[in-house]
Amino acid sequence: MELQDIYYNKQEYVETASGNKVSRQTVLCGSQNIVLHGKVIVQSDAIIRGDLANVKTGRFCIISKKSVIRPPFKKFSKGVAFFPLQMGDHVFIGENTVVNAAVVGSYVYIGKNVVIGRRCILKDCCMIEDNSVLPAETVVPSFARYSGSPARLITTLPEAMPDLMTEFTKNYYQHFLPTTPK
Amino acid sequence: MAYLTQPDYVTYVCSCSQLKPITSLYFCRHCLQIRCGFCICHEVDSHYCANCLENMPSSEARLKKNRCSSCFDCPSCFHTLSTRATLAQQRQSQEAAAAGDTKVENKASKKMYYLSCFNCRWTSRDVGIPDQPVGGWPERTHPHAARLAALLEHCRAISQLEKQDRLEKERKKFTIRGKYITLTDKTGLTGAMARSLAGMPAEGAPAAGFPPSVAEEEVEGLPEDFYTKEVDLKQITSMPQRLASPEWQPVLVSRLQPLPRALSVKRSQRCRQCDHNLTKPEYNPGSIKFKIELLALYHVPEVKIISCDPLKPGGTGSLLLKLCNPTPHELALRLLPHDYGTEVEECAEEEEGDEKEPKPKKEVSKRPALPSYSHLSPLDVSLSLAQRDDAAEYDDDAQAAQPQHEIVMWRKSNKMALRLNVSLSEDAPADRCAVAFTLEYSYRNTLPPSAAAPRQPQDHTLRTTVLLDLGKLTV
Amino acid sequence: MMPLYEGIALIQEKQAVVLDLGSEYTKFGFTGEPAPRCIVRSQFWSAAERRMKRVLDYATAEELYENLVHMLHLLYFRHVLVNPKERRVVVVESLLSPTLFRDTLAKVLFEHYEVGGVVWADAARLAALTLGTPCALVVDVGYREAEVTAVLHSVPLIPALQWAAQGAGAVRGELRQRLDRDNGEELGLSDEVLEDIHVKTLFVANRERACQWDSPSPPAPAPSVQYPVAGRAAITVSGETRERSAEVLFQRDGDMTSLPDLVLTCIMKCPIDGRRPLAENILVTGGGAALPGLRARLAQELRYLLTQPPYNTSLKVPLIKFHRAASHENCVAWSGGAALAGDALAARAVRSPRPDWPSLTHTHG
Repeated sequence: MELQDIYYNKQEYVETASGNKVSRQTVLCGSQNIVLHGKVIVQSDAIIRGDLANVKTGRFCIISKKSVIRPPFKKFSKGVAFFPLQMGDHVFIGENTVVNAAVVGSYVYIGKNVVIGRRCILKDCCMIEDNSVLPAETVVPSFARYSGSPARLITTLPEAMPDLMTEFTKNYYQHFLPTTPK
Repeated sequence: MAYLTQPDYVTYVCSCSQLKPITSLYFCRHCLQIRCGFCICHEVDSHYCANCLENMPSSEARLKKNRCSSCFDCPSCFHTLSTRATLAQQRQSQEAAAAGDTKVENKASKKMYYLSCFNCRWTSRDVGIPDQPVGGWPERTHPHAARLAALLEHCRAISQLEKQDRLEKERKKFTIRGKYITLTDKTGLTGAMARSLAGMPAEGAPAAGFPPSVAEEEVEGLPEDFYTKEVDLKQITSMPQRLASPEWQPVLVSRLQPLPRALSVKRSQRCRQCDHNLTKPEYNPGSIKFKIELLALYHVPEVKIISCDPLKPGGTGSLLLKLCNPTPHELALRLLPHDYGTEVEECAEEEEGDEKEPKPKKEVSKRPALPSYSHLSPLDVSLSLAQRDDAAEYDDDAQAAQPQHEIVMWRKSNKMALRLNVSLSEDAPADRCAVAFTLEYSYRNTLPPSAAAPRQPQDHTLRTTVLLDLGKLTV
Repeated sequence: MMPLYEGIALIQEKQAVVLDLGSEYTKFGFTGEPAPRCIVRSQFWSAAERRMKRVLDYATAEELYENLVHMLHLLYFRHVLVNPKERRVVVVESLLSPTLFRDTLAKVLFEHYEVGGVVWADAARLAALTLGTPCALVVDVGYREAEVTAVLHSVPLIPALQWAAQGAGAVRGELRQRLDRDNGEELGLSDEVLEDIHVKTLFVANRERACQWDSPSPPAPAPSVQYPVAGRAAITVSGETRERSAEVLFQRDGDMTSLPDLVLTCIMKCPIDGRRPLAENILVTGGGAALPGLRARLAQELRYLLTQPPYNTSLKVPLIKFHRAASHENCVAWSGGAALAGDALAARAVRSPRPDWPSLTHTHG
């Protein structure tokens, strides 16, 4: 079925010159460390912890409501260090999801209520199903579909995954419209 | 994406008569047929470890039994184990405990490693595996290996004997093979019994090194305290934990050992009829690119359902479809009833088909059951659909071209929406209703038919049957 | 010279694979290796139904064909990582395997995977092969069924074959009922949880204790276990449940289908000179036989029953002896299949996608 239009309140969202649509009701800590590469949607109540380390996203990423993007840390003998979090293009992050990954590749679909443990590496073209928990330091290979807690490979994805994700995120962006003021 | 998160509303009929969503279909440019994972030949292309993303040559992979030498899985929860470094010198401290801690401080502290699971907190120390220096975890021998190796040797010897026997028989051309040969056949039961009665050695007499197993009268029962001992569930392994290492199948948690991680493969896929590759991935394990990628999504017009009126048996309703042209050529389309000209199609196929190729097997010509209780209208409509243009999305003006038919609702570069009517008969099933139609489309093949032929695109008219799932009916 | 030659032969000839497709677990690996590469549940991810589907859940031959294609794809490309094409397969199967299943499997292997030949071998004979003795009585306790086969000089005696639905599945069913009784409610536990309780807590008591349960003074039950279940309070597995769930295998009724009855009936149906050696060469295999205490109990029951009618008059076997399996109970037959290698395999491999089953049993006797 085709995606239906999703309407948002025009007052609530800020649209930048590069086409990012960011809700005013988000918590963007350390916004100078957050780079959204254009046409990225950050929906209400999302939290991006740029204060811990740099967060970079590619183009056409969708960060849904109440999700948390948080750079991962690593414990050393002399304390704790945070590492930057990189995200590729055409990434979808579902509602109530916590992402602590080190790298999220391009064309990645992360469902809702998912926890991505710290320093996970999600390669390009993978999918984490709803309600999964990915333990720390997991590497998710390309074209893998993970599910469960702890999430495990259940099947593979079609070769056309890049096209599907591109179409999905572009479509989502096009259908993400301001309510027409009356 | 809807293809992965929603049920398959739109399915295509593959040339092997399976119904599949377009994402799991391929298009063979040589046979001009739709293929699916079911009717193509899969091949192992390269081995790699999905954790460290290192390639392993297949000869090495075979030697290592398809296991990565540096990555391990947790034997308890099967998550990947992480290697932890520590500066503690266990062995030295043990020595120190024995010999009095005098010289310990002099010894340089060496980095030692152990394995730990971030999911269930299992560590290699839990089962008493000493910390290791860089790399190299101890390999274990299989408890039954010796016996089974002897068995294998024994079988080899027998098969060698058999081979000689056969050669012998072939040499003696005049052996009489009577009708009742089985009665005296060496391998038959009667023959074997007769031989053993006569005190002759049995056929395939036990080779040296494979003594027959000795049966015992005494079968050890459960220890006495088994009936009174409390069971600690945490100390007994579960079935998946046991089966994760088929050689050992540990029963106690204290016997779990890190599992070397199983390798993964990249697969290439091949058309069974013409042996051409349909997909071939790049060698690099991290790459998502393909050298060859003949997906149906790139060659066959994609059909999507935009919306459908609630329907009831015997009623009609409108159905909005979206069609998309993925090719760089303009498409001529025609909507036809799903049972349109099946015979014509087969004849056409025979003409086009390569003479030397065997005809597809029986399954191929079989057609899946398509609904006859539902009909689309209007059909037999000819339409055209513009080519794919990646720059078009940056154009602001909507296409001004006139819709050539009243069923076309809108057009946007290589996409268009159609409004059709579905009519159902009274006997339509209420729980899951579907409608089928055949889509005829033009296809421009840019591939030269043979190396010698001039590089000239050829136009073909192809057909595919599409099944639309309309969901539940309102009764 | 010889080792070198063998080495070359090993490289040249594609190692055959051994497939033992059980109703619960599938064992798959290479010939010449001591253990299967994988023992996995006989199920696969069905993309159309978006769930794990068991191979033996089928209504029609077409559905079975599809299930087998998917299962073998999983085995070849996820676990063993080799091309199926032109590689030989040893299929370890039960003598009771239905023709529809065999036909479909043959069709899948030859037409879909284009394998280089299939050796159809029955599990009992392969299990007997691992012993190296001329006779063996193979007691295979699987999930659905227990089968008792007499193998004399590597020929299974079909007329003496005994079977009944007395496998791990029967124990599982009893366990489910008893757990409901222990906890006073319908628990509706999933198969995975039930299996876990089965392997972690159940055992088979000796005969003496089992008889006491039926007497007026039952023995003190083994300690009960609190088994934690996600989403609810821990459930109680009582001591009685732990030791008596597997009693279903030994309960005698008019049908003579208890496990010891199957064994003795099988021996009785064998030719008279074969009976003694068979009774002295019993091999218990199958995943269901891994239950602690099962072998010992079976021995006790057999010895007791020999003193009872009808066996005391018609069956004279003074000794009952058991073999120790050459590998884990659940892959004994698989190991036998893996021992077939090289020439023996080539000679027995069938190339026809529609084998003539009755004649097959003779050709590789």
